[in-house]
Amino acid sequence: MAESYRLADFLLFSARVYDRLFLRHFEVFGALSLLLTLAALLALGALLWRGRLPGRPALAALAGVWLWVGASFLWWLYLPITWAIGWWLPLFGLQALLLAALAWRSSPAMMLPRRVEAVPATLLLLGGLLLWPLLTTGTDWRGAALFGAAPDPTALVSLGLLPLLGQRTRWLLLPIPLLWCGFSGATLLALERWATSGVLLSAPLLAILGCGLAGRQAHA
Amino acid sequence: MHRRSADHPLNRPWRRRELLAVGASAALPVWLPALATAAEAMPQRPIPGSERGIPAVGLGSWITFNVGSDPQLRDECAAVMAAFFEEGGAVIDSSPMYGSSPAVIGYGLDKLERHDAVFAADKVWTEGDGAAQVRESLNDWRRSRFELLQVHNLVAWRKQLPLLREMKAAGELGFVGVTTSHGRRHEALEQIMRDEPVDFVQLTYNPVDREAEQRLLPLAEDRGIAVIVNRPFRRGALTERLADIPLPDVARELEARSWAQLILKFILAHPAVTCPIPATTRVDHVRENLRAARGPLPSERQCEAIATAIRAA
Repeated sequence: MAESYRLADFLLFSARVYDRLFLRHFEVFGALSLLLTLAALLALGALLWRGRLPGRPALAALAGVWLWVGASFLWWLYLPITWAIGWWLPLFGLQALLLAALAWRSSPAMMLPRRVEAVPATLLLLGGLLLWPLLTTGTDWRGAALFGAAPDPTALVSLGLLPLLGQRTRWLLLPIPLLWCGFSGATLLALERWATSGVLLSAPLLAILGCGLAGRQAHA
Repeated sequence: MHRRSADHPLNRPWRRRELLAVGASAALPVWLPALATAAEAMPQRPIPGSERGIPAVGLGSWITFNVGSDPQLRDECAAVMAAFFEEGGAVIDSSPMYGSSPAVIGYGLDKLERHDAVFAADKVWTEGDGAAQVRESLNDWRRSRFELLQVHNLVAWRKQLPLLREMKAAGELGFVGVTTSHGRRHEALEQIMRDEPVDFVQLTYNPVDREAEQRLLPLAEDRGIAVIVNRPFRRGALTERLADIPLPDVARELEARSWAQLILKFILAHPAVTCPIPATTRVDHVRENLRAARGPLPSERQCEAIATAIRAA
């Protein structure tokens, strides 16, 4: 009888090789990654304090981050061990283009929904900026996956910003981070990383809930 | 199941003069002189239909050698290859599907300067331009020629097999083969073995995946087709499961020091098997794997004892 395929049979690399991608990225670009995380945390603090962010610089910065993560992490480190990443490179470029186009076309203020409606967005933003590095820190803290360096926390933060955007815009920017969460969540599942795969696979649901609640509040 | 006896010619190391005779009677492959000198104790298996032989245990590269551009891990892979050659190994198997593995093998061969020692086995894995993919693979391996090219998982085999046969006829390739894994597509493989002139087949066979014993292995023997065995440890799952289980008594009879050696001895005991290709990232494991080919191989009774012990574990 034929042996059954397991999810792990579709992985081309070992957990050790995967973990070292983050360490190697940090070894080369660590200072920039820490700076980007710090800047994003300050922006989150401002958002939670004032309830709003200036849209144009936030979207433009996020466009740059998607481009940077696509080039420095996916293309340089991840593509050599997974040919399927070749399909993701244009998608990361497209997401950067959409964000840049939006930043160029208009400058809407990004408003944090009020009361309980703000919870999904806040959880996703905190999850991407703080929880994710903690969950991915192994024996060497430099191997933690940081926003602005690794695609997973970048996708989480991007999903967290969607409820802050206008109705049509948010659905335009949803598919690529959502698909990435599915792809990367399945990868982590195959690596038996239960906590991080659980976060990534539930993030799209949280983002859709956040967008739905924000939309309802806007109509109220 | 038909097993060979302990004194079967294939169960002992080839003598130096036999190897030299092979070299004299066939176009001497570039890797053979290294075998004759460096691997006195490494048993060789003949490739049916040719006068060539290859060491009885090879090296797979699925997952283990896919380390990308990581310099530290590339050097670790090269260390595994160095130990592999020191123990008398030659057959290294890879595929364009395995990410950076072919390029990492090429790096190791260059670093060790052992292009002469390797029996380079790669695959064609495309429905498109097979010749272009072979050129890319040669570039990755940093070689001008493969000893063996196989159609990976039978993908587009009707298109790619003629290409490989043309390459062989033109002297650009040593041998032609097809592969399957996980015990899948055995009917199609059997049909190819009956209808097509292939030198090698690659399939999954170990003490818990024994379907190949029913038809494929006897057919390979009848048709004179060499057999490479993949997934001998089910990608490590089998040896991990057995890690804390004491070895059965039969291990002592066979001079096996680990479950890995016992499993490889089980595989090598089948007369149709030419070469299992366990993959590893560890130097001690690659040495252990190659040493499994030395010493006695199990009889039919001992094979059943091994399979029973693993089933019961």
